[in-house]
Amino acid sequence: MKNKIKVFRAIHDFTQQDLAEIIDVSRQTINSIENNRYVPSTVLALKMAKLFQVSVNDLFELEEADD
Amino acid sequence: MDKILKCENTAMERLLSFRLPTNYKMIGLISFLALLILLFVLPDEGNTADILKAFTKKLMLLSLLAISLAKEKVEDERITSLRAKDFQVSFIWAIVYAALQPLATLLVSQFVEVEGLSEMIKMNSFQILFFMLLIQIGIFQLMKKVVA
Repeated sequence: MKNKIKVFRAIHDFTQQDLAEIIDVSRQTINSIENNRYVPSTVLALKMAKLFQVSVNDLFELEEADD
Repeated sequence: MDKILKCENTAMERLLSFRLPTNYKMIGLISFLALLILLFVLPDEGNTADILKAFTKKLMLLSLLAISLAKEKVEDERITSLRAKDFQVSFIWAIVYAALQPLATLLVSQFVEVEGLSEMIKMNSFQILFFMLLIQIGIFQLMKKVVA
């Protein structure tokens, strides 16, 4: 699964630490999500989508390997 | 019936999410090292020494458990997920260790003279639990840095 969190984070001028503090996770978790090493839960995905004012589909995208 | 199930579910969730405060990691580590030194300092023979050694070993297990159960600075869903994978891996490795270690000892004894072979083949609960906790703590630290 690909994601555009890094892009939206840059648009909103958030550091990984800023985002982590807002959604109550560690900076390492944000880093792992951005590098596709960890797939977040629905709750976390919704929290990020709400923060960036986009839909979850705008943030995350399935890859061929996920089918 | 629903009420009973809900109550059971809540109790189970509370049990599964039980964690000790973060500073227990350091307390556990210091007491583990102190007990390890004590284990080597205690005399080899004697009834009192045997009792003290057995007691020290139990306390060592509790120290490792304290490290294992201590919260991370930020206890988020990634940590919960890593913990679940880690417990799974350490459980499997403990069984593999318990099954293969006596066989390995027996195999080695075919080529090398091993003193007290029958004692070495017997696995006690301390050996298995000690191995399992060490693997669990070690793999968790590794996973935090490497896996996710």
